[in-house]
Amino acid sequence: MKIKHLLISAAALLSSAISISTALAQEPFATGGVNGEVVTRTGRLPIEGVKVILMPGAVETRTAEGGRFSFEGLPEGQYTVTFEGDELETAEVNVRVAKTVRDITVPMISAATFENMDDLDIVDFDMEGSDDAQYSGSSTLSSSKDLFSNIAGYKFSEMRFNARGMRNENVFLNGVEFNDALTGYSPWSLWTGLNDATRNQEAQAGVGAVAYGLGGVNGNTNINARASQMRQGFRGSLAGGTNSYLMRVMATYASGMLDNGWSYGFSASTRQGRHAYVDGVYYDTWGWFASVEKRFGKGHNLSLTAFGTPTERGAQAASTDEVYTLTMNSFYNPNWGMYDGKMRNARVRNNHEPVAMLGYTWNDPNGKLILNATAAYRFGRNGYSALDWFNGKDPRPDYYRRLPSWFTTEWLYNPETGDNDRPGRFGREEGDQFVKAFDMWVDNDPRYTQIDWDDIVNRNRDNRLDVERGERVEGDVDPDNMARSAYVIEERRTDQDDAQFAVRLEHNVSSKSKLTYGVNYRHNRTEYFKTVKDLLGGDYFIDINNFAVRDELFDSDAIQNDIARPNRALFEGDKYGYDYYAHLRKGGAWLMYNHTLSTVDFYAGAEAGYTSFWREGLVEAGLFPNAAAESVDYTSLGDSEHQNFLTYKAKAGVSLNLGGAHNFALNAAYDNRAPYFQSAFTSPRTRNEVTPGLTTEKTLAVDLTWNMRYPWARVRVAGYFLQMNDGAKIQSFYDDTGEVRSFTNFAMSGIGQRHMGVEFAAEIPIAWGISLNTAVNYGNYVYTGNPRVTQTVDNSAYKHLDNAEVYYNGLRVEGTPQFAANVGLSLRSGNGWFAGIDLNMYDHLYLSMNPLFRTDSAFENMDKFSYGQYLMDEMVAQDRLPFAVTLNANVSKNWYLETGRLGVSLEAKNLLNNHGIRTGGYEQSRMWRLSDKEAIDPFLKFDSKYFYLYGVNFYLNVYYSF
Amino acid sequence: MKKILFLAAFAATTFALTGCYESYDSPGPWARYDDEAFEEGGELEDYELKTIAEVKAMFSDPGNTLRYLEATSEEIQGFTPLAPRAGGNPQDVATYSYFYPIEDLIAIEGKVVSNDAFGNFYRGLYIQDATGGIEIKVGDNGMFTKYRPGTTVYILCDGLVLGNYRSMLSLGLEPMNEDLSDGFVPYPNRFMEVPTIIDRHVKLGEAGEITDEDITVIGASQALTAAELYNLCGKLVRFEELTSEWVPYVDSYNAGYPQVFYKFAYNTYSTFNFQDLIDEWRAYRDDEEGLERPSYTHTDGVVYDKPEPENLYLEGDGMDYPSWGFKHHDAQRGDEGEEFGQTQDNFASAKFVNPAFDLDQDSYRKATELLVRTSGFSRFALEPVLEDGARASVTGIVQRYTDRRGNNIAFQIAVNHSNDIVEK
Repeated sequence: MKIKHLLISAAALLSSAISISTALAQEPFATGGVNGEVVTRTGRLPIEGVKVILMPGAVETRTAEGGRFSFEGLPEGQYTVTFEGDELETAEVNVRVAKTVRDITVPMISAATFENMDDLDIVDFDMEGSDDAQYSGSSTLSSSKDLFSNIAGYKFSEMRFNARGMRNENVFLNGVEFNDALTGYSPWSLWTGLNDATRNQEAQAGVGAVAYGLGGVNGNTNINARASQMRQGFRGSLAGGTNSYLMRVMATYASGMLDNGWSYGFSASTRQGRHAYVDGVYYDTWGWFASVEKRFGKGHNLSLTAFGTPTERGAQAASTDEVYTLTMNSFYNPNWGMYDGKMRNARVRNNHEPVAMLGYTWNDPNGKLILNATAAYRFGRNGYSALDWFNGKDPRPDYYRRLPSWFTTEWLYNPETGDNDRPGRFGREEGDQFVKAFDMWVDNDPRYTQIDWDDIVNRNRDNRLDVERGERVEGDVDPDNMARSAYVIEERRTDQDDAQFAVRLEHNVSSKSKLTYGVNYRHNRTEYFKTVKDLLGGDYFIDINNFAVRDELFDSDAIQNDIARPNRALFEGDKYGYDYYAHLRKGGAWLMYNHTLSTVDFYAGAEAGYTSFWREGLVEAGLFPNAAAESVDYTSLGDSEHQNFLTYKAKAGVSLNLGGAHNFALNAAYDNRAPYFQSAFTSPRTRNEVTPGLTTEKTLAVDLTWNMRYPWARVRVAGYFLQMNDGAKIQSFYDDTGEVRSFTNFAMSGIGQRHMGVEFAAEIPIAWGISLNTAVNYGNYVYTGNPRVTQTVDNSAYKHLDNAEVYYNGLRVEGTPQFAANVGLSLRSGNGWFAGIDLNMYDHLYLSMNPLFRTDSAFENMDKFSYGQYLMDEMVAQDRLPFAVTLNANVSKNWYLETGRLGVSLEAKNLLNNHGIRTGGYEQSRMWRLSDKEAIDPFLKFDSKYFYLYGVNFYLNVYYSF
Repeated sequence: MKKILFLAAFAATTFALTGCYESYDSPGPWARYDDEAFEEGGELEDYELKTIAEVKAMFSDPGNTLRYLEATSEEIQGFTPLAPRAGGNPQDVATYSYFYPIEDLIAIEGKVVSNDAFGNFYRGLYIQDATGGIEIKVGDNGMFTKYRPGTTVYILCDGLVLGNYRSMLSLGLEPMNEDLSDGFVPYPNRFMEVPTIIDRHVKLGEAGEITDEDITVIGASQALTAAELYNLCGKLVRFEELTSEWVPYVDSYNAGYPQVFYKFAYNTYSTFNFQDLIDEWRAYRDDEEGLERPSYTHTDGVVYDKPEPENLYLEGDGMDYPSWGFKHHDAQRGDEGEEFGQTQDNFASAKFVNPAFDLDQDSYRKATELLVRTSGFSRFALEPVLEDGARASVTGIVQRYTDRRGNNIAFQIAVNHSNDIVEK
C-alpha cells in the first residue's frame, strides 16, 4: 500500500517536473539570449570550432566563423556558459539573462597541453614472461576532462599507477571497443606516436554511461580518429629527451570538413634513439595515419581510416638489488652485450599491427536518429625476441651462479636465538671465488657483466653435429661442413587477425530522452609461434625439445617438438618450438536509456552476449602425443574443448546538478564477463589443457562522485567500490635452474579482489595566475578468498602444483601504488607562459607475487622447526615497496604568430635524482633448499627483481601548428 | 611555404636519425695460444711448460709439502684437519684429500678428451698429453662448444692446487669450508666457477681433432696390471675386447642381509628407471605370493634366487626402493605422487671383463673386471646395456674409484657417449 502511494507521488512529482521544464522551455515570450564571440587572449583572433555549453539545459553548440556563437529564446535566469576548445583552457562565464540578448566576448588562452604525453615514457620492461606480446600501457593518452583523471593520468604514470587498481580501461576507437581480444589489455600500443591523430577523445572516468556501448567499470575512452574529427590545419613537433628515446618528430595535417563534403587527414611520426637513459634500450618506431571521409546525401557520412605503428625497440630487464649495487647502477640492463664492438640487445620488440576501419554514419535530418556502423580489421605481426640455446651454458650475465652471493654463506635472523645464525642460502664459503666474483662485477668489463656475444658466435661457428653419437638432423644440412648453432635468437610471435563489426542506433525519443541500441561482433584468430630470428654465426638449428632430451630416450618421440617432422633443421625465419591458434568469437547486443531533466540525468542499460574461444594446436608435441589423450584428457595437436560463455552486463546511474556548480553522480554496474583466452590454458604453448575452475569473471562496481565548480575552486571527490570474483590469470616465468630451464606457468583461477577507495582532486586558483592542484587516491585493494593454481613446466608433462590452494586472502593487490598523492603549483601567465611544479607521493605499492610461495608446498619442513611459524610468515609476506617521493617541474611558452602558433615546453622529472625508487618488479619463481637434505631443509626464496625509476631526466618539445 | 619547409625539415631529420639498429658485422675469432707464446717475447714467456706427468709427480715428490684443508666451520663436529706432510703416493690412503699448492709459473699443454655434450661429464675437463691425463676442475657447462674434444688447451697452474681425491689427481682451486660430517674426508680442491678465474687459468690453444694417436689401445689379449692402468688415469683409452657381464650386486653395507638385485639395477646405463621397471619391481615387492620368481643363473654358473622383497631396500634410509637401483629422477616419475629421495649414488656401472686383465682392485671385485660408469644425467642413461656375454670395444677416460677409507677399489671407464661402446 505504502509503496503504491510512494510510486504515485513520485510519478506525480516527475510529471510535474517534466511539465514545468517543458513549459519553461516553450515559454512563448522568452526573448533573452546569449551571443558572443570567442577570441584568443593575445591578439584577439577569433577561434572557430570551440564547444560552447549552456547550463542549465545542457545546450551545446560550436563557434562558427568569426568565433561566433548564439543561444536564443532563453528564459530569464542565471546561466553558466562553458567554453571548451582544443588546446585551450576551459573558460566559464556566468551570465544573467533578462529579456534581451546579451553579447559577450570570451577571451581564451592556450592550455598547457603536455605534448609529452606518450605511453613510451613508461619504458617497456621485460618481465621475462612469455605473455609479453603486449603490455597494457598506461592511459596517459587519455585526455579526460575529469579533474582527477586529468591530473592522475599523466602525473602518476611514472609509478605505473592504475586508477582504482584496475589494469585496463575500456578503449573505443570510432565506437568500436579495441581492447585486446585475448588479454583485455588497453590497446594504446596500436597507435602509439599518433598523438595528434588520436587527440579527439571523449573520456569518462570510473563507472558511467557512454554513448557507444555500455562501457566498462574503470573509465571509458572513445577516440574519434576520423578525418573530420581531426583538428584542421597543420601541426608539427620536434622533441628531444633523455629518458626513453632521444628524438621524436611528428607531423599532422587535416583538412577539416571541406565544402564539397570531403575531408582528409594524415599524420606521421617517428621516435628514434638509443641508450637515452638505459643501456641497450633503443627506439626505432614509426607511426602512419591516413583518413578520408565524405559526407553525402542527407546526413550520410562514410569514412575510411587506416593507421599503423611499425615499431622496433630494445627492452630493459629487471635484476636483483645485488647486481644493481655491484654495478652501482639502478638501471643495469642484463639484456645487452657487445657484438663486434656494437651494443646488441637480445630482447627486441618488433611489431607492426595496422588497423583499417570503415565507418558509416547517418544523421537523420530531423535529429531523431543517428545510425553508426563500423567495421574494423586489425592484423599484422607482433614479435619479441629472446635468446634460446641448446645444451650450452646459460649466456645471461646475471645468472645467479655468476654473482658473489653464490660464493658466500648467507646467515639469516634466527628468532630462537635472536642472532643472525640461521643458515640461509647454501652454506658454502668460497673466499677467493667470492672476491673474484665481486671484482668481476665491480670492474664492469661488459664481456663478463653483459652478454658476451662474440663468445656465443664463436661457439656456434665451431659446433658440429655429432652424428656418430646419435645426433640427428633432417633437412638440407651437411653435418660435417655446416655449423650447428648452440645459441640462437628466437622471436616469439603473436600475430592477430582481428575483425570487428559494430552497429549503433541512437534514437532521440524526445528532447529529454534517448534510447540507444547496439550490436557488435568480433572474430579473432591469433597465431602464436616462434621463429629462428638469428643463427648467430651458425648455419642451422634443430627443432627438438632441448630439455626433454635429458629425461627421455634420445630417439624417442618424446623429445620432439613436432612428432610429424622430427629433428628438423631450422634456418633463419623458420617456425619451431610451438605453433597454435587462438580462436575467438564474441557477439553481443546492448540497449541504453538516457533521460535528461533540468537537474537530474539518469541512465540504465544492459548488454547480453556470447563468447566462445578455443585453442587449436598446429603441431603435435612429443611430450603430449595425441595418443596419450585418453589418459590425460587433453591433446597438443588439434582443437581444445570450445570454451563457451554467456555474458551479460547491466549499468545504471543518476546524476544530479545543483545550481550549475555542484554535480553528484551515482553509478552502479554488474558485469559477467568471459575469461580471457590468455588465462584459460595451463600451458598454452604445449597443450590444450584448460585451467581448472575456469568460469566467467563477475564484477560489481559502484561509485559516487561529487564535482564542485566555482571560480574560486574546482573540487572532485569520488568514492568507489569494486568486487571481482572468479578471475583467472596466468603468469609465466623463465625458470633457469639446471633441472628445469624452461618456462614455468602458473595458471590461477577463482581469484577474488575487492578494490575500494576515495579519489580526491582540487584545483584552486590563488593569485597572479598561480593555481594549486592536488589529486589523491587513497585505495585499499585486497584479494578476497584463496584462488587455486596449477603449475606446469613447458618442457615436461609434470605438474608441480595441481589445483593447489593459494593463500592470497587479505593480501594486497600488486602492481599499482594504492596510495598516490600529488600536490602542485601551476602558473598560467597572460602572455603565454606556463610553468608547474609537482610533488608526488606514493605508497602501498606491492611487488608482483609468485603464487608458489603461498601454497602448502612452499611450507615443506617448516613444521620441523620451533620457529616454523616465523618461516612461514617470511615465505608468505608481501614485498611492500618503500614510500616514494618525486619532484617534477615543467615550463612552456606559446607564441601566437601571424601564421600559426609556436610553442616550446621543457619538462624535468625526478628533480631529486633519486635512483632508489622502486617502481615494480617481480618475485622469482624459484626457491632454494639449503642442501640436499630434502627431508629436513625448508625453502628460501630467491632474491626478487626490481625496476627503478629513472633519475633526473628532461624532455624538450618544440611544436608548431597553423 | 612554411608548411613545406617544416615537412622537409621533418623528413630530413627523420632520415638522419634512423640508424641501422640491427645490422651487425661478424665478430672475430677467439684469441688462441700456441707454444710460441711461452717462448722468449711471447705473452706467457715467464711460464715454463711441463708435461702432465711432471706436474702429477709433484704430488709424490717427498721434497714437496702437501697440505690439508685448514679452514673449519663450527658446524663440523669431529673433523680434525691433518697436519701438512711430505709428498707421497696418491694411492696411499694416508695422502687422500691432501693437495700440493702450485706457486711457480708452470703451465701444461694438453688435448681435451672429455665431452660434456652428452651429460656423462659435467664440470671438469679432462686433458691429456703423451705422458698422462689429468682432470682440470673447470666448473662450467657447455664446454664442448669452446673446449671441444681435440682442442689444445694450456693450463696456467700457478694459483691452482694439485689435489688427491681418492687416488685421482686433479687441478683446481684451493679447498675452502666444506659440508663435513663426522670424520668425513674433504675434497682436496674446488671447481673454478667465476668466469674471470677460468679465463685466467685456461687458455685456448689450437683447434684439433682426436686422432688415433691420442688413444691408447689395450689389445684384446693384452695383460694389463693395476699399476699400468693407474698411469693411464685421465687418459683416453680404447679397450679392444671387453665382455659384458651381468652380476648380482651384493651390498656390503648390510652384510647381514645379502641383497641380490636381480637385473633391475643393470638394465640400463644409468639407474634411471622408467615406470615399467618401477612397476615391475613394485609388483614383485607387493605380491606376497604367486608372482613368478625365477632364479637367475649367472654366466659364472652360480644360481641366484630372486631376492625376497623385504630385502630389496636399505633400511633406515626412508626410501622405498633399492637405493642402488633407482635414482631420484623427476618426482614426476613416482606413481601415486610419491617422491623419490635423492641418493648419493646417482650413477650406475655396467660391468665388463677381460680375462687377460690382472687388476688389483677390491676383494670382492675380480681382477678381470672393469666398470663403465655413467651418470644418471647423461643423455644415454636410459639405453639398455649390452646383454650378458656380449663383446665390445670400449673407448673412454680411465678413472680409479675408492671409498674414503681406501676400500672398494674399482677401475672405471667414463665414456663420452654409449656409442663409444661398440659391440662386436
